[in-house]
Amino acid sequence: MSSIIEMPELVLETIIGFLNFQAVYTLRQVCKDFRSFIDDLKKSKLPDSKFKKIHIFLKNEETIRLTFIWSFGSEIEIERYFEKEKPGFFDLISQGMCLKYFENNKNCSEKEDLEFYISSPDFELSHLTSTHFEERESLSTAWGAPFECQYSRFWFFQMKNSKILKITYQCVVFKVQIWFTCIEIGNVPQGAIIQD
Amino acid sequence: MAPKKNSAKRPQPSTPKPSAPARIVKVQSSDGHILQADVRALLLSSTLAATIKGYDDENKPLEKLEVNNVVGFTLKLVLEWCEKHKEDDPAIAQAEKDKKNIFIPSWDRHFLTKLPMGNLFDLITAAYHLDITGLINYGCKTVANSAKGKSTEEMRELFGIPEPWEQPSTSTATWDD
Repeated sequence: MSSIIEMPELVLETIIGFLNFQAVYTLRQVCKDFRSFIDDLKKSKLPDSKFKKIHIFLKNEETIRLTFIWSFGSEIEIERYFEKEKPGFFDLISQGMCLKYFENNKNCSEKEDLEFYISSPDFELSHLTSTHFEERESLSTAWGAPFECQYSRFWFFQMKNSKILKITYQCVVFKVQIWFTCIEIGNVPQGAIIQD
Repeated sequence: MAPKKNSAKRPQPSTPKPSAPARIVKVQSSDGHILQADVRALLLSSTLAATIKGYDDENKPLEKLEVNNVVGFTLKLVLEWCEKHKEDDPAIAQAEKDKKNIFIPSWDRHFLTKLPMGNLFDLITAAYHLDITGLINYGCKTVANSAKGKSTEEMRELFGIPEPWEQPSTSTATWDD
């Protein structure tokens, strides 16, 4: 008898294509094989998240809290414990699912999806707060020189949907706040570099 | 007054297409089981359709088709599904191929949901090897429907995946390992 993980990749892709975001997110937790498979999938193969905001909170050195918020007010909050190794910020952003969902899949027809009632899948904002942030210099290494203005640092990235992902970094008292905002190209300040 | 015969006025659920007499061939599974099927049902499989066409083009008698990657139990299920759908327009299944939402007819829903998950996976894998688009679509949608709304633990149970501490360390570390 077959195990689901032994099924052909095309079949798994088809199954995932019929799932909603929450189910894919849960499936990703089931085992490492699923996690790798889902992470390696093209964004167009993943279901539209349809959430408006993601709030990522590195609560302490062992805990991260993710809050996914839909525009109709519903939200799911997930807390994870990292007993062996604290996830670096980049692990979270580059390897986690979050970044995949910053660019919502525009090809997905919302009308056909009865799972959610939201009309627009555009996310507005994602916010990360960390009380234990030790990777400040790594940001510049990974994302290049920031555009600095007053007490904030900014990075700008071209998104596939012709919008710009603006990342704002602010150090406030004992914590670091990082905001992810989707903006129009006209709102990028003069002198700032837009990276691919 | 004699009662009227009601056959003329009874509405038919669907109008069956006029079709040629059934052409029955033997189909042999990988474990040696021999089953019988209508060629029209087998044509739902692109793989088998190509083989059948090859025989027909060469005017060779088609006595037995060998399906080397599907066992008898699963092949029986495949043939049962194909028999039910042999009158279907193949364009419908193709049109549904990349759709996010498809409607599973009640017969198919009953047929697929009654299967234990392992048998359903075997059936979908067989449909994949035989390239039967409609069966792949309905099977995958059935698996997806059964997974929706489940917790991580419930999904592990549904798919027969061991708990993280029971999984081999090479392939099963979970996100929070």
